[in-house]
Amino acid sequence: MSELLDEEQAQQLKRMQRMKIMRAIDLVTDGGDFYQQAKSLGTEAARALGRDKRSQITGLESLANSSQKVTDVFDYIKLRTARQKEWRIESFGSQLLDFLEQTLPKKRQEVLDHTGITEPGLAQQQDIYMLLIRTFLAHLAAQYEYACQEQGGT
Amino acid sequence: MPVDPAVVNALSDTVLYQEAMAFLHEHANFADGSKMSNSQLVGLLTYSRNWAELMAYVKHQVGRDWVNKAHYALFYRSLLKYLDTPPQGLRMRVKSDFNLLVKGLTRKEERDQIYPWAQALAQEFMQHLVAQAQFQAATNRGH
Repeated sequence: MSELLDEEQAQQLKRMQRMKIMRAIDLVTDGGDFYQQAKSLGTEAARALGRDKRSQITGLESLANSSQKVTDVFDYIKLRTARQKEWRIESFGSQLLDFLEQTLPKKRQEVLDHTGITEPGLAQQQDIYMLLIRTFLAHLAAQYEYACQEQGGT
Repeated sequence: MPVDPAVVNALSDTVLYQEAMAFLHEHANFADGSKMSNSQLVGLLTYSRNWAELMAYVKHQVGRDWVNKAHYALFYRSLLKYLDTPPQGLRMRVKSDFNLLVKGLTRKEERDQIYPWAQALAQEFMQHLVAQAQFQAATNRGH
């Protein structure tokens, strides 16, 4: 009985911590440089890839939403950049990779600061990193669609 | 214990990715300025789906007569060392560094467990290595 209770309490704690993390991610990613960067790269994606390569942006977003590994996202961007010249226009692929690899880990620390979690486990750190990537790419994809529309559906 | 995808994912993100970057930087920036050819990279990726085939392929590449491409032999020798040479080869690290085997196994049980782990980790390493190599070749950018 007490074991069941402990298990339930542990689950409850986990749920509360998850909610704290989600709230902190909203705070860190809503507005400011995070959104501006996503907007800028979304516009860049529309310019470089155009409407014809839409599946590559939706593919990137779906991969990020389904994968548990941040490096799957990095590898996808690297391969697209290597194989599709459009990803190399204005260094779009490299810029995106740099932001995800260099800047987002700092945002992860901001998220942790907001939650008050002082000693996050490895899995928790990766989880937050992945959530930040998903949020960023969702903004980028939305801006990409919008910018394509603005360009007249080209 | 059997291969746990969550553990493989965590090691892939935190250890193998960095090691693939470092390996490429150290061993694939050939002195003559050339890069690994695409066919070599695709070969590595294809064979990494099976540990025995990957080892056979890498050893075969080490032993090949590369004529005026001796740097390829060096690359494959280094790769063989990274993957399978005691004491620090990836296969040995399944037990020594990553502690992925349960205690008290017989030699045979240990062998049966170690290879699936080694294969899963090697496949992740190769995926990162090949993606970075192709990215570098296309953008002329190091890491």
